[in-house]
Amino acid sequence: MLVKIVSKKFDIPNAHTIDVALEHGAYSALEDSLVKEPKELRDIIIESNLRGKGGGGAAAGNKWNLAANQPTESGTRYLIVNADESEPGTFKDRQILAKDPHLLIEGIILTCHAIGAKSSYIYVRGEYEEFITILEGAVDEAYAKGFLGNSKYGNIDVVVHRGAGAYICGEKSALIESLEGNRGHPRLKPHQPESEFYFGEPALVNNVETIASVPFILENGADAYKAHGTEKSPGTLLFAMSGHINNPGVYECSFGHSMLDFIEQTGGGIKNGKKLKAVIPGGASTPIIPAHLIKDVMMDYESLRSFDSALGTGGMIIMDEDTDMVKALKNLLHFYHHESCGQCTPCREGTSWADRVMQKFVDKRATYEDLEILRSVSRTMNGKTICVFAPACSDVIDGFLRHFEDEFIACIQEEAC
Amino acid sequence: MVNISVDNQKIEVEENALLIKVLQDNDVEISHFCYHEALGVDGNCRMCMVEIEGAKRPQIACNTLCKEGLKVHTKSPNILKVKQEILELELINHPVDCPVCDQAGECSLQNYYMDFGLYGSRHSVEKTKKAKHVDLGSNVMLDQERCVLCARCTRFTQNISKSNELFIIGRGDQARVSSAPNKPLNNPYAMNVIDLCPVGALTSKDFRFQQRVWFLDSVESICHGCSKGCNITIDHNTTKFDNDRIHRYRPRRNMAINSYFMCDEGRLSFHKENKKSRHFPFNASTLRTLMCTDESKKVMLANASLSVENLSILKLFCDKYSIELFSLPIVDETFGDDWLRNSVRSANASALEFLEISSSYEAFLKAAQTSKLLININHPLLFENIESHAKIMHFTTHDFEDMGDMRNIVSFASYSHENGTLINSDNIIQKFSKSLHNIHSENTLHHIFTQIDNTLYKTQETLWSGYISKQLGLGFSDIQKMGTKLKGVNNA
Repeated sequence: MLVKIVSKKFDIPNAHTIDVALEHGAYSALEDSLVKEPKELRDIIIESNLRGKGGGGAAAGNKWNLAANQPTESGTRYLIVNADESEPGTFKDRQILAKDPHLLIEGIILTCHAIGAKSSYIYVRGEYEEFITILEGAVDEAYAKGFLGNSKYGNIDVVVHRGAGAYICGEKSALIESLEGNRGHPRLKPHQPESEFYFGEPALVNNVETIASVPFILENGADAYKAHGTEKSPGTLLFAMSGHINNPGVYECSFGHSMLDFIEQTGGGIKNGKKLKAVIPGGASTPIIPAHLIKDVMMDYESLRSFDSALGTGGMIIMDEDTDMVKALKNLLHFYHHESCGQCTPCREGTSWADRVMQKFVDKRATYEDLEILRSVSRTMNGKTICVFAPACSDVIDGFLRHFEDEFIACIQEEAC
Repeated sequence: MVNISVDNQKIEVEENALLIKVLQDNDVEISHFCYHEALGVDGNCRMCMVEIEGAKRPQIACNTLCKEGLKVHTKSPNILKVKQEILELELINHPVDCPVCDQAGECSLQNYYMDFGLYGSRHSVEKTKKAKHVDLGSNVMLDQERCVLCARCTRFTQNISKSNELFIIGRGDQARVSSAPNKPLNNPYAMNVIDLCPVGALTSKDFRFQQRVWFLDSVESICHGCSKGCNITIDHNTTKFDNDRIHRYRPRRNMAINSYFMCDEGRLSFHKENKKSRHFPFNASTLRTLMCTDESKKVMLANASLSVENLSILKLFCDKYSIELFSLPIVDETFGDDWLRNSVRSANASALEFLEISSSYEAFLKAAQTSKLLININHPLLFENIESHAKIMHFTTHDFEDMGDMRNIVSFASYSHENGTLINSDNIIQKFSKSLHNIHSENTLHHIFTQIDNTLYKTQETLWSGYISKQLGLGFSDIQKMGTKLKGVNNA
């Protein structure tokens, strides 16, 4: 079940320093891959069916092609690595930044070559201060050893940029706006498929883990990657477990395994011998799944979709039988209320209204009308905004109401007595 | 060109035209806050939702391009419901203080609520509190609670005035418009944000609490502040025990001249029109004796902001009685910029060439030195003490300082009291209409001079058909609503 592709060097002490990393095979994919044509590299990625690991799960190769083929007058292209990991329950990318930053840098060099970029930015969540220190150290070492900068590896430059603390800057277009020095507001969707644009030049935005998966695929071939996981969800993901679990942490696991097995075997079961109540499977924005369904859930994109949820980032929040679902939803909605960027009306007003209505539930002041308001606000937020923040919030509300409506009604009735 | 259908009506449009613009141009009502033709698409208000056949979800019209066969529904029950739900969200944190809000009566929020809102409030939790009296500077007051965060004002300072004073700060429901500390709104076009604001968040310090807008009469006019000729709407009314007064100028859309905007100085220039002035009635026979019978040398100096009609009647009068007519446009280099403010401050300076009126300062000074009588038609130069032994006869619209011998003063009606035409700095001739009616209104220059000499053209119509159309090469009825470009004098 557990595989070591991205997490290969996680257990090696000091693997974040370049000497240790080089001893254990860092930068070994460069020699062979950089002599290949960029298109050849992109074809390998398409062939491997690598899916973006930031939560959406879109095919990475297509995005690479869009960025590489977008006409540009100046010929400048950018790679932007999204390390703005702020999703509650998700803490996988920081493991890469802290434990094996050279794998990321290796991936960056390869990806830049594949899309014709010379400059890349790593947009890191500002709160990750200690990981940023490690990452910056690694970038400096890579420059010193001649992997970055003026070198035989394609003169790639890497800039580490710290975010200023907004969740929405993990959305790729808001991230670019923020990187350009503007307010982190998502951009309107284009009318046809096209790359992202950084200061008007084509840009590719990929998650840390996606880029960190690239060296393995290019070194060992698409088939080696596809040997793991399922047909539609090939390869591995850094699954994270948090909440009421005995062994919380980040574990690399291939797609397609039973979620319950993973929780029980790798996670060591629920804390204090309690029963499982529900799992939020892939970061806070994925709809909750109750215990009675979990036994059938497989950890891949398609299976979770069939349970009206999503694999997301693979950051699982595990809840035991004592969890108060009303308080859990209030906790989540407080987060969405706080983090909505405020650009679109449905999200700006909807998240705050939903959060305040949830406070009524927590305070046992709610009525049946409030339940109806929650539903209708959720409906208004779904599919009517620029980015997917509001629809995600809407999915979260719908998930809780779908599976745990009785707890909300109990709250209302308690008030009535 | 492609064919699209809007509410089952076929419309032929340019391919890739912006749907919301197409709807507006075809008079299909489409609710929106953030889209503005001059500011472009922002897509944040989500009020312009339309149903597009084949699309899974409602789409915003401001980010939809017209393609062949596009089928749009703007009034389907589903869309009305969506709009109602979004409007409800716009309103949950709104203070609903319409009774004391200056925007009431011309507020998009109110209008849309009357169109498809009309629900009882379901909001039972506390509202978001924000600042209600923020003085942004430049006469602009901000009420953050009324704001719908359409970002029109911030986009104006970013993209149009390029002065970047306004931003949205804060996230989520705490988002609000603000200026940077100690950096107030400060640009010559700042007050346009008040017109751009679709709700009562930005109000004019100059206009707020003065009038309810539904009591105002609106007249289409032209700003007389400089020779640019920005199109304006004059809002005026007569309140009890008061004279007819102008309460505000608003820019009126004219894409060839001022698009949607005007400068603050022009906007506030109505205060001069409102200024209370004494009324000095004229006596036609006295004036006739003074100007028409004497053989001595006489010089007339006319303000170059007078309308084409008034300048024409003066020209005809002066020609007939051998009075030397001059008109000196007022130039203020510090005023002009490369957009709407023109350093030639006289609104009709371009007409002088067409009407063959001399604008030579030297020639005027020379003529004035030897003249026995100076006739001043509202020109500021002669209100100052210039060295001349001639007798000065003042025709003035408003009181001026040091009025001296008041026997030589005649009041006449200023531009807002009469109809007329102006030729702007780009040789575009435009009409403006009478708005004010008060004690001065009777005594237009035309009236005064036709009383002095009743052989002159009696009405503006006969003046146009007999004289002006010959000079300009077009008739009065040829002037389009948005103005007509004249051929220059040299290439006529």
